[in-house]
Amino acid sequence: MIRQVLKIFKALNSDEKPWQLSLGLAFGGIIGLMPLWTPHNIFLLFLAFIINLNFALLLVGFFFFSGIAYILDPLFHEIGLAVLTAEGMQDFWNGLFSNPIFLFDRLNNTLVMGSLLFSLTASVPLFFLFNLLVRKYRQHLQGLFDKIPLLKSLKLAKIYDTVSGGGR
Amino acid sequence: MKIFRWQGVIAFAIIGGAVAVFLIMFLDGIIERGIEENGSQAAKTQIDLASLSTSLLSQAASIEGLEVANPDNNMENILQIEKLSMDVDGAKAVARKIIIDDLQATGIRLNQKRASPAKIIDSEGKTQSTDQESEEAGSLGLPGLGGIDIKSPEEILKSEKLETLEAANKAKETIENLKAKWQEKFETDLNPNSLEETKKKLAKLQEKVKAGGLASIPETVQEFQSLQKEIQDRINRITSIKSEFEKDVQAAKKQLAELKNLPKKDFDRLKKKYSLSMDGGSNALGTLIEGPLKAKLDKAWKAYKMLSPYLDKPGTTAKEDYKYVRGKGADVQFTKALPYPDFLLKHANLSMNLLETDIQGELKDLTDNPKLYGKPAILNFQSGKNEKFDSFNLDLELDKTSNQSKDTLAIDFKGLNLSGIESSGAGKINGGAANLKGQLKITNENELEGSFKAALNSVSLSIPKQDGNELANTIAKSLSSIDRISITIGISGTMESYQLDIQSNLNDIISGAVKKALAGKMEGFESSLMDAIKSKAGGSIAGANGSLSGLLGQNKILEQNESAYGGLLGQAKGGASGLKSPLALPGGLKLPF
Repeated sequence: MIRQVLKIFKALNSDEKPWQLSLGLAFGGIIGLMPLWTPHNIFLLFLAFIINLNFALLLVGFFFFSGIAYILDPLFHEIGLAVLTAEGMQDFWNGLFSNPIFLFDRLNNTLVMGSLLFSLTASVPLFFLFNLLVRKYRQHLQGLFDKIPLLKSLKLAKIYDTVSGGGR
Repeated sequence: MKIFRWQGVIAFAIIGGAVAVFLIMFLDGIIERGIEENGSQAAKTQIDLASLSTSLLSQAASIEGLEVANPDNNMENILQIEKLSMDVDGAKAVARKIIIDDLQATGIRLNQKRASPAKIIDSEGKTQSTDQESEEAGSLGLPGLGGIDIKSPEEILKSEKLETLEAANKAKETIENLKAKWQEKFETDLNPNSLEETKKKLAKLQEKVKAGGLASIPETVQEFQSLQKEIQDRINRITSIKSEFEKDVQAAKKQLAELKNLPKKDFDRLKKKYSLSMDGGSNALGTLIEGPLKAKLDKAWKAYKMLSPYLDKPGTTAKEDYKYVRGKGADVQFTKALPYPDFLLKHANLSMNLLETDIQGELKDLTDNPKLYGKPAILNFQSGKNEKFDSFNLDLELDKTSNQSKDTLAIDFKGLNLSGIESSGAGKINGGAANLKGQLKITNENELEGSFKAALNSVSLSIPKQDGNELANTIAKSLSSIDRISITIGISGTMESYQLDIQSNLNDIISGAVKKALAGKMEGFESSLMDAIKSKAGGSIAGANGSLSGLLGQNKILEQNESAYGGLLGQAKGGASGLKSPLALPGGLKLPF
């Protein structure tokens, strides 16, 4: 837990752009909210490898949102069921699922479909919100660490370096 | 700042490659374990595979040494298949549909002994390793004669309650209670002191008459009248008590009288239950055929019920039917998109070992969703003449394509050589041949309608001798050589409650044997049963009679009191009438006019 918090601070105080951090967290959120072993999760992981996002925050987001997913599990089922059984969408779904690849991806599963829709929808505002928070943090709070002599006096140099970004 | 880091492709490729190599290397083991674990939990019995190999390129898989344990007997495999090889439709597998175009199964065996006990899978899918009672394995077996026996009267009375005994004990208790009640009542209502007091009062008055003058006559007369009334009241009370007592005595006598008929009633009941009548063939037939057959049918229904849900998924599913399961959700069916069931075995060639003879079979269109696929599953096994039988034909059709399922089993077994068929403890068939033909229809996976006919010719049975069971031994002897046995079995009802209508000439054969065995023996049994009942209940009946005598003895107290008070009343009346006469004088003096 402490390590995860330190990772967040380390990322926040690094040279990386706010979008890299926000995107890492958003990707982590999407992957964490969905059932893990689905082909589109592997595709997202592939994207995470080639996009220059922060991988540490992806992992933090993944673990955090996996816990959230457990709580929201019934909601995902309801969303997925409503969408997949909607009268007006049956032609669309029949057309989509006539391609076996989408059945292989288990998109006809209520949890997979519900969590995919929820996570994709939630990831956009999450990205922008976290982006804003990173900017605000760097603008107002980052300098505070330099002004706290206690951390240095306690000789917690390694933690200090990590937290302040000095160790990079 | 670059948006993409292309070296990530290399990292992903390395990790992806490592995972792919791992999967390719260990895929067979993963699938094997998956089948063993998930299959065992789904079937609620242990499933083992000796080995499994897959070929992704040729889209084929083969399994060796498949064993499915019998859930009711962990030392037996209900199904064993030596080798299974199959061609899978790879394109459909991408859509998570298992479509097997062709399957070859060899070395299919039923009800084989296991090398080691199977784990018991409970309802939650957990495994236990406790041993179960092992049952005898074998596809064919003989019913035993162990259930046919005449118990001795002593043995019967050990396990049976006698109505006579219970009624006699109850009567004795009731009479003892009555005795205690009347004893108490006599002590309070017929107190000897009160009789003595009355006697004294009368004597005192008589003294007064002798000694008194004329002036005291009216007073003495009044006292005599008062004493008379007192005695009369006593007598009335005694009469009332006597009447009440008589009622109780009559009730007790009635209870004892009823006891007289009870030994006969007990005897008739026990005789009906334990004595084999001269027409006992039908009972023996039930023991020989119906019991063992029902046990086997119950097992068959259980297996059928266990398999049915996997072979009859609904064709279409309404929104309400998709049930939420945490962490799993529900798979919504889009049958128009890909009109294939989740599982389909299009064609299979089967080779089954029956009675140590290989017979060939074919299975077509077995699916988990017949309503969607639209064709019934058909299984056929057939074989021509060989050492064991002349011909064998089995047809099974599972038609669940409509809402009303109709499953049909038809069997035609001709010229089955019965020699050598044995069952440990029950005996062995030394010779003979059998024909079996029949059909069973199961509608809506529950309603049964079927009839089977078996004809056994020149049957020679060898049933082990049972010490002390003369009847079973006599029947066994009668079965040692029979020209022809015909058995017709009708099945009707539902799987939960079905009736077997068994007709057979075995009835006559066994009835004859029973008559022979029972001649003279049953008479002895019946008389000794009656004696045993009388002996066991005799003590209690005698006790109850003794109690009644005691109760009747109490009547003497009433009689004595009644007589005593009667005498006193006479004396009192005499005394009073002497005084009331105008010519009478005290002391017996008479006036001279």
